[in-house]
Amino acid sequence: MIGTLRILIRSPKFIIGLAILAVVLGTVFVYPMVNTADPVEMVASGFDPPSAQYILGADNFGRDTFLELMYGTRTSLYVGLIAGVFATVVGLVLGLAAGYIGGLADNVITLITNMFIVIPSFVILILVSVSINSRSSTVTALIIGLTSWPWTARAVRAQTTSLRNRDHVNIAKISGYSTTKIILFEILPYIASYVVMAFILQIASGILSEAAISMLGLGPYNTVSLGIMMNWALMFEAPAAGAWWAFVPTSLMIAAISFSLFMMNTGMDEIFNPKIRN
Amino acid sequence: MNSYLKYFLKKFGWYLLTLVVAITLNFFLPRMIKGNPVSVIVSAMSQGMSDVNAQKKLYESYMHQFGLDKPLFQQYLIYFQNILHGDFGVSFGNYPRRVSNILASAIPWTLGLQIPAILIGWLLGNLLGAFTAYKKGVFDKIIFPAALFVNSMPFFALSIIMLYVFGLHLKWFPIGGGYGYQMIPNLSLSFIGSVLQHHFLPFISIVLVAIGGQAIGMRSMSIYELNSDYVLYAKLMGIRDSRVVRYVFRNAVLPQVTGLALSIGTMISGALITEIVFNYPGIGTWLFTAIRTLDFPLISGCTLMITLAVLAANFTIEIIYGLIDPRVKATQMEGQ
Amino acid sequence: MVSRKAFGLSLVLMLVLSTVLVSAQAAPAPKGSQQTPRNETLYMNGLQWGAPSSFNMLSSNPAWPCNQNRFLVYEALFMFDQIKGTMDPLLAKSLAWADDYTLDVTLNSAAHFNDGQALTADDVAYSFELGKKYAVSWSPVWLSLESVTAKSSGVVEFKLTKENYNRLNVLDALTNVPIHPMHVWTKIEADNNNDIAKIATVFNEDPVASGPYKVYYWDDTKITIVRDDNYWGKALFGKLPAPKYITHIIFKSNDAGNLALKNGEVDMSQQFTPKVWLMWKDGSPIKTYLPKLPYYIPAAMPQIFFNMTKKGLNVPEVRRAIAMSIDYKKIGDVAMSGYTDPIVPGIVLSTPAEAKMVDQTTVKPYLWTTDVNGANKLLDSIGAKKGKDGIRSLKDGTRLGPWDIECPYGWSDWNASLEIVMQSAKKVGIELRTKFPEQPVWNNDMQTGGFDIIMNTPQGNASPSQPWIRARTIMLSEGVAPIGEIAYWNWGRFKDARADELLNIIPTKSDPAELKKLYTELDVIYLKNIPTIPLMYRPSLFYTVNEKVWKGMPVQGDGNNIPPQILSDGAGIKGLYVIHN
Repeated sequence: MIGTLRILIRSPKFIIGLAILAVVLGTVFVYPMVNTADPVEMVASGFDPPSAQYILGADNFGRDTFLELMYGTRTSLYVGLIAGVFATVVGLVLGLAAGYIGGLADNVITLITNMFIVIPSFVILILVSVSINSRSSTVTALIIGLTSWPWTARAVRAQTTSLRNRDHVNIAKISGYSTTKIILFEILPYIASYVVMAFILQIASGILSEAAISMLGLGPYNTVSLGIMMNWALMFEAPAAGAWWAFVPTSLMIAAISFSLFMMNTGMDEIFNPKIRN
Repeated sequence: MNSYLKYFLKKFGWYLLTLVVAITLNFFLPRMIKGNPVSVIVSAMSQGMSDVNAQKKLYESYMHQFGLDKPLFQQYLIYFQNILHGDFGVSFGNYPRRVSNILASAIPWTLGLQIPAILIGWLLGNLLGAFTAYKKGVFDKIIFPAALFVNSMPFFALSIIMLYVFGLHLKWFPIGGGYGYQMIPNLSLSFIGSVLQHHFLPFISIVLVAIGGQAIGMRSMSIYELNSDYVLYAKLMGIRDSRVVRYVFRNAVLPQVTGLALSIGTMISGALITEIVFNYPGIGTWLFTAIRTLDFPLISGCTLMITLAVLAANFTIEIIYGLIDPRVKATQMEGQ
Repeated sequence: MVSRKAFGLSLVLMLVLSTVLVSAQAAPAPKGSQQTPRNETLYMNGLQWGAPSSFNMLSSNPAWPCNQNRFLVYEALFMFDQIKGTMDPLLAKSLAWADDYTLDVTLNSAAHFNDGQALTADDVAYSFELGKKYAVSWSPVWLSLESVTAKSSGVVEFKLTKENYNRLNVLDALTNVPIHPMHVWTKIEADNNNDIAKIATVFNEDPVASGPYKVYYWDDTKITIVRDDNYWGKALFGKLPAPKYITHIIFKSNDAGNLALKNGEVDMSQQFTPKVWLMWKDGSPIKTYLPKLPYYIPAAMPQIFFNMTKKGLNVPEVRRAIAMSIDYKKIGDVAMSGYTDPIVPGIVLSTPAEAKMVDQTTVKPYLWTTDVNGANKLLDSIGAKKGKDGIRSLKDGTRLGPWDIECPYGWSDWNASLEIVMQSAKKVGIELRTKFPEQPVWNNDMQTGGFDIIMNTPQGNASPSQPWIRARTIMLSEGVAPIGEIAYWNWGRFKDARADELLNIIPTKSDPAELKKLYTELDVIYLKNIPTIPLMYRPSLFYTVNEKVWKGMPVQGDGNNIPPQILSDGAGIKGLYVIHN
């Protein structure tokens, strides 16, 4: 574990990604402690330009855009994290089950997995979100997770299938280890690096998905997220009003977060697959 | 039996089954909601009507007309049957217009926008990816993060910024719609010119994001190939660089074709939101309107079209792939 | 290399192909002209949001311009003037009450349809009868009508019912029932077996009607109508309308429409434009009906309805405390860009015409304004104590919230208003939560009473029956289904026997002094009970014009005295005869 970390630290891509993420996290968690104002309090008038007091001006409601951006990023990160955990856990369980048990279970799970890979997840996301009347950010996160597990499941299954017949697994089987134990100690460690990478990608795609459905007006209620801020900006005609501060920083924030996660992922990828190092 | 035909039939059967599942989800998911579209129509019609019985009659007649008074499962069967005939029902929000009629008007716009954008984005992205992998050094250090950053930006965010900069600020391009307001569609040069002019901004926003995504994939595939033994061997043999690059490109691009098949769903979805930003008269904009009015038949129609397009694209790619890739051929043989 | 060329070529081909497809599938491309000249075309927006579904006024949502009270294609007997409150002659020349129950309307003998056939009393009677025979948008008038008959070819006789006597309903109908040609529609009826379900699906692509314009072209992005140079109204207005074409552009969102107005691609906008004064800051020839705040003439009062059956919300003091907590000025400034005068609660508008209908000194003690301290004191006085989280509970333990406060997603000024109400209520210890579902869900919640607090406009149209129709929509409990079933007015299920009584008496009276007494009593009941809280004034139609192409657009004080009803609705169509290039 520590060895892996030591290698990771030597990857500039991983470090850059981590650094950006750390800066973002630091800002969004520390700034609200300094400025304890309520982010939804309407303090200025609509689309006030940036000033010394409000460095990113005001949004359509006259709220402090910068403060809102902090809380919005928190919500988006939360949604991405929950969606990522959910998708990874579901994908891992299904992939392990299919790969390790094999037979009919494998056939059924693989069929379903492959189906949900080709049916666009965005479509399912829309259909489910439309059907749910009251959406909190947790519900939104779960819906996103529900639509993004198949990739993880497919990859975990492939790796598990190839591991199943390796010698060390067979030895464990003969030694009478329980299935749980075999999976935990003989299979999981071998796919752990992959799962962590997939998890990182899932977080990024969760944040992007939240932004996309919020743009359609299907985001969570009673909260501020990056997608909802973009949606407000478009709905209240920020581009026409020339209020770039209402949507450019938000766009860049989304891009920065997913960029940092993608960078970390690429860095890890190069470590674990030396063949793709340039 | 011919092994390829067998492969073809197997794939076809699988895609058919997937389609049935997709249609089923398309029907049931939106109907879980409690909002009743009929009440909206009735309430608009009965403004000021104070005879409760008359309202009830009106309400029931509409419920009947839309088939909403039947049990859900029966509605499903009817729905399925109708779809086979290319009939997606009547739009609630645009009553009495048929969904198929609306889709027919929107599909050319969406296809005309997305197919060229995705293909060009794919092509340019792959060239760029291979190039950066080959050039390495500073070039790679700049292009790679830039491509990654663009790819991290949601389609619509880039669209809004493009709209703001080029449409509103610089006024180089029109800000929305499919063609000029004063135009009536016809085959004149001025109309086609207007279409192309309106086409440009949404097109370029999609292309940019697509380039980013593809370049990253192609870059790592190419590096993988460049590091492989046959390249080293070829170099030792003194084969010309350009020739080696061609081999590398050809080998690396094959997985990128599959990559295109798999990512096409995400790309189309993202591009649909771009349509909304530019008020482009395609499926995406209609889907947005349909969601706002809970127009179930239209929502189902749009999502079904998207699903169908993605399935068809995947199927086509797999079929072509089966013909050209020796490795897939080998698995076909294995099955015998 | 060859393959790459082929690839490029196929791309170009695909583009061309899709263009051809688009042009080919487009609706009835009129021959001869490929575009309508800019200086002969008047562009509008904000009256039609979806692609046209039909031009059939017997269907549930016909497209612009075939709407009630919109006289470009179909016309009614009279046109209502929102400013003067008068009914001006259109197809009719005059009206006369023979007695309290009989009304004679004399038609303009010049009137004819655009196929050349004369428009007679038979057509008028037939058109009204359609509403009796089928459930269409003007059917409700038959509650107050006994019969409509052609007395002669030029005179129509309306007989009112005695048991459900309501003059206001009938007068409204004279200004909005579209007159259909009998010779065309009897045939359509027969072709469809007199089945309204089938008749309603007739597209009616080239309506035979009496108005100055004919349908010319439409697709998903616009509708164009062309002037009928043979229009009968030349006799009435002295000339033909100025624009040869009128095009309504169908935008999917407000922002696209406002940008087009700003760029001079739209001449007349019926859209909410935030901070409209920014539009003319750079010298653009953009105007609103009023030169300064509130820019538009108020005609409606969007308000929040309380669900009177919810525990906690059924306490009048709680409702009054919410009313006193709300920052109305902020709603006006932030949500409405200032397009509203300070709100005076009640069932009447603050316009001179309506305000004089109640006795202002009698209602004064019951009015409320923003007063957070007063609201807190009021809640203290009924023993509602704040909990640890700052939210109050009543003596019986009922917590004041969380209550959902609801309006449709995307109605941006309403969304903003409710955000402000939520913030305001927090200050007096009441917890509200905004909920912005899709419009049909909102509508369903409202009608079935599945809400806590919900926003809507009770009858926003300017019509002869105001303010009665507004008050009825807020307070009449007769004919309102219980919670769980669909109600078409009084969504909060307010119940007051005296209010019901008053609402039934008012439409039978015509003496102003008597009416004033009745309205005042009704207003006091309203203010004491607070079944709703008006949040703002709003025009029934927004009216913003860009004079880049068309000049002389009607505005207040230009001497023409044409109301801001867009150049298509009611007496607003008079504007078509004064504008010029």
